[in-house]
Amino acid sequence: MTDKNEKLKYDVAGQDPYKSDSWIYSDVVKEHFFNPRNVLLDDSGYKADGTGMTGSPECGDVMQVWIKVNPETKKISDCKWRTFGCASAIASTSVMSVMVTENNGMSLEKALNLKPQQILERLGGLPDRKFHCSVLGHMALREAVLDYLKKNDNTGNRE
Amino acid sequence: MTIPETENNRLILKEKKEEANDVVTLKFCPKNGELPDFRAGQFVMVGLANKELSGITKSYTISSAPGEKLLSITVKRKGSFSQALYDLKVGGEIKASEPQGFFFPSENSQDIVFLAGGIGITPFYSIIKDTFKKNPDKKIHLFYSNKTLGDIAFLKDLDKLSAEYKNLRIIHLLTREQTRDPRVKEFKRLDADILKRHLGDLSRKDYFICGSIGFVNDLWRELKKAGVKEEEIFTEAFF
Ligand SMILES: Cc1cc2nc3c(=O)[nH]c(=O)nc-3n(C[C@H](O)[C@H](O)[C@H](O)COP(=O)(O)OP(=O)(O)OC[C@H]3O[C@@H](n4cnc5c(N)ncnc54)[C@H](O)[C@@H]3O)c2cc1C
Ligand code: FES
Repeated sequence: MTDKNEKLKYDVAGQDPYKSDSWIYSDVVKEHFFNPRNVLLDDSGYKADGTGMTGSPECGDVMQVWIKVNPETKKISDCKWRTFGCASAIASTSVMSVMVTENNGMSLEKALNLKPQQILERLGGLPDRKFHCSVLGHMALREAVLDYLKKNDNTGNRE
Repeated sequence: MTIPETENNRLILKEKKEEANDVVTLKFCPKNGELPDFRAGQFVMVGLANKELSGITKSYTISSAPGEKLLSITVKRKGSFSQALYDLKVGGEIKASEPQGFFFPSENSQDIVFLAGGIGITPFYSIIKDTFKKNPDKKIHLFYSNKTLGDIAFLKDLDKLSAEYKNLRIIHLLTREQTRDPRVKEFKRLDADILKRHLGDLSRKDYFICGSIGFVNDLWRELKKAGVKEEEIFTEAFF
């Protein structure tokens, strides 16, 4: 089951996501860069349950993430983001925002434990030199989840 | 991104130890105040005073365990920043951020598998020392892949740890050298077959992968192909 899905994802992207020493971007990356999902340019009217921000030591670019959490299911019901990062950061975070909200939302535990490899797989890979861009989104997401847990009487420890 | 200027984040190099080809451990004490609290597996962002390198920060995992007197990082020289760290003289100074990162097993993990590629050993070295000091009942398998025997950092210290703790099993792999050294059991790249041979059933374990982007991505894929659940895999790529 997993294998079949993965095969499909590779085919869609037209390249093996793990042979990524070139500068070629997959079609999924391009599609999400030109049509990014869940961007929030003006957050003044947005009521978030948790917010997170992170900066990249590699390039200095900054990422902000806002989440809403369904109080009953404790799953992420909405995920918005904004960045001054590059095309790879935009595509990665766009894909991530879809991953955490699809199928009735991702649990907070899974979101805390989201790995760059899960995002890379969905993206159809990124050049190694752009790996640092792909971690910005989920690092800010983790801050947002921890922020939510802190505000809701939980220390945010993973245990 | 620069590290904020505070009185307390300057560290002075006290000792230096050669660990392997191109790899040194740098042991620091605080310039003022105390060493920061951290969890084994966390890293600091390091800044240097050199004119050409000021303004640059790079991440280095803390290779000492909490409770040790000095705070260590273990550096493999590659480009100009790591070379400058490698060349740092005793008495020299660095700036270090607060320890950060989430790459460590939870208290509940009992059966833990570490997959280290080269210098990706650093978080595991700290976590192994810390875990067994607190809880010798936990089980840890360390698969440690290097190119040659001379590239294996902490070789003797790991020997000692595995002699001391019966629940620590270390499997050394070399990819570019054959050796008669009895400690090395495998002479190919780490893959799911090797893992199965040593672990038997791959399920109900927590896997931690650390090394270059390529190493981490390859093993992530191997584990998933072998049926390991994504929730049981944790990754840290050194980029
Ligand atoms: C969380 C984390 C923890 C880390 N922990 C450690 C640790 O414990 N020990 C450690 O030694 N390192 C660690 N690193 C890696 C460290 O941060 C540096 O990246 C590393 O020391 C190399 O930095 P540099 O500036 O010396 O080399 P760079 O200038 O970055 O170059 C390294 C080498 O790669 C080549 N290179 C440079 N850029 C590229 C490129 N774009 N594509 C292909 N090749 C390129 C260069 O020619 C050079 O040979 C960690 C990284 C992270 C993210
Ligand atoms: S270069 Fe900064 S996010 Fe990509």
